[in-house]
Amino acid sequence: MTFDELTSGPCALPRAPMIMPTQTLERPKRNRYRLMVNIRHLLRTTVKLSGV
Amino acid sequence: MKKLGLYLLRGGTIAASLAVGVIAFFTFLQVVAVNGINLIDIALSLLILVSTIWLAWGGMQGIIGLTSSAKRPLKHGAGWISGRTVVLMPVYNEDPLMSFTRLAAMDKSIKQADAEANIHFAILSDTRDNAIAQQEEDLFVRLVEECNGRGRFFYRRRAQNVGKKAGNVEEFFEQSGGAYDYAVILDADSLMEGQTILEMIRRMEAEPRLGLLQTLPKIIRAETRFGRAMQFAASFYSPVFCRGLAMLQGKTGPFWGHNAIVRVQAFVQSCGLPVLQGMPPFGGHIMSHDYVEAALLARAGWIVRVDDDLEGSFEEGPENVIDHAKRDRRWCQGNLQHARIITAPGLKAWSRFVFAQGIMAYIAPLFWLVFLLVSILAPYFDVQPDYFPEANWPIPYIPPSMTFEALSLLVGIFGLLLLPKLLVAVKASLTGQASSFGGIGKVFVSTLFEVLLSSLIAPIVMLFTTRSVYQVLMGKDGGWPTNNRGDGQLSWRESFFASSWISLVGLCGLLVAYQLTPSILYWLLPVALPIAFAPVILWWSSRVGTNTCFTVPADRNNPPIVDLHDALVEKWTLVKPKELPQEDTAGKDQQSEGSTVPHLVPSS
Repeated sequence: MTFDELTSGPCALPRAPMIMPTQTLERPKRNRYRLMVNIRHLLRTTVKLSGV
Repeated sequence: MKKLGLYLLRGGTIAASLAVGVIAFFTFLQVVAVNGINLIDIALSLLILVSTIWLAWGGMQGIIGLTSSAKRPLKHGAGWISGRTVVLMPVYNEDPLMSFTRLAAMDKSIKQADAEANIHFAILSDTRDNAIAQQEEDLFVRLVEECNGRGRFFYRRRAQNVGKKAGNVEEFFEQSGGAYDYAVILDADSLMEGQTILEMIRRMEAEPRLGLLQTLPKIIRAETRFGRAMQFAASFYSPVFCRGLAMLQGKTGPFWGHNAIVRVQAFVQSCGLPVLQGMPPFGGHIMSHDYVEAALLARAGWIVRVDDDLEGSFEEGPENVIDHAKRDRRWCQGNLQHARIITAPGLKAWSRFVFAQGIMAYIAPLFWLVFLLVSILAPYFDVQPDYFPEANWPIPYIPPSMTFEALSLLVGIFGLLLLPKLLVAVKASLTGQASSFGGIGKVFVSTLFEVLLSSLIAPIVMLFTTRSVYQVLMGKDGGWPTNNRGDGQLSWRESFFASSWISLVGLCGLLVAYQLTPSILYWLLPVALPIAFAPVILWWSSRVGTNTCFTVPADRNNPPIVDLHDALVEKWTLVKPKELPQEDTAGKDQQSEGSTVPHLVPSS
């Protein structure tokens, strides 16, 4: 048998799929912009509430 | 209780290493600060502190290895093996004749062991070179014919080599993992006795929580002076240091990427590697994937272990310093990349420590280099001694001589390198193990020459490592060069071109030291001379020596698997491959049994 006949026949890898879930290795980056928006919002609210 | 013992051992080893470092720190500070302390003195002492802790840590592993013995693994029978195993050989532009005959030899060795086991072999090719790929195709036909391997031997070549070796193996598991319980992962130069493979499978069967079992591969077929010294070290010292490592790591053992067996379900569940954010060298695909996979298995609760009592596991090593440096460049990038994942959520503390250790392995030589550079400049910042510290006191104060302390420190640091190796030689002499290494006299001579040769080569490797770290920090990706597995002998030209820059650094260093601080010139010579003569050392160490020392057991009694492989290489070289006959009933049976698996096992 030729290479092609072998690898498409008896020597083709068995088909038995498995799902390999991707692992988490990195912590998600903090969104600095979002953090700044929140801080600004917090400051504005504080200013409003204090009535300055 | 076992855990407490492990924590005590780890804590004690770390404490002892720190204590040695602190002693070195204060001794050095005493020596350099005899005329008063300045910032340079403190910087030098801190460099000594870090470097000595690192040396002591290595030495401690040797001491633990010398004073402990391998635990007997869980009981396992010698009979029927129920689990299905696949032996995986990922290849990438390797010599197909050598790698495929290795698989044929392992298959023969398993058959000779006469065990009832369902073991398949898969060649996972990532070869990019079309000429080599054509050879792979031709020789695969030959391999199937040689081993009667229809339905047991598989070959596939990827169109895109995404994720390099880790991606190659991952793709296999995603496509075919459900067909197997265990996978023996090899390198293209791996060779394992059939009995060893069977024993590994049995140990996996005996311990259902065992996710990965690593063996300690010994180097074979080394010819050159450098190669034989590495082979001797791997055969003579490594088992002892590996024993020490095994004691310290407990169930959070190592994976060195090959000559190991994994439980497919455990690996698939826990080792799907992400692509790191950003570009290489720190981002992208994980290069030193094996360390990460071991950490992920441990994170998922699986046992990862190195069984140093398992013999019959072999690999080939680099035959010259340049090949060693090329391999180190790849490992350096991989290990430094671990800085990105050292804080990964949920990892065991020991896994994080292993990552830190791997990074330190490449940073440590830099500490020595900085120490040398600062030492040359130090006298410029020295405080002049005050001979008359008290007013109106006629007798001058002469600062005490610190020669004894300086020499003690030097002997101590060199002792940390030499003592564990010397103790291994003493133990081998007492236990009779020395006879397989050529006898007691030869063992001590080999140890001495190995220490001398590694002392000559260490400064050169230090500069290669420094360059690697610099390149990685500058964002240069080293890529995925093919391993050179030739005879490894370097020509003058190759040696010169690879190390002329090192030589230049050494000569400039000597010149600067002579101009600035001639008083420390002699102290620098043991490091500066090998650097200055790097091309000569590279060339000389890559030549085939007389082999009067560095004897290893394989020199006297070739391992059976190596003999089998040699015979197959000779046979395959002499006779050209031919096509298999068109029809074969036995082959058909094997096909239906092996290559198409009726049940699909998706992982959870």
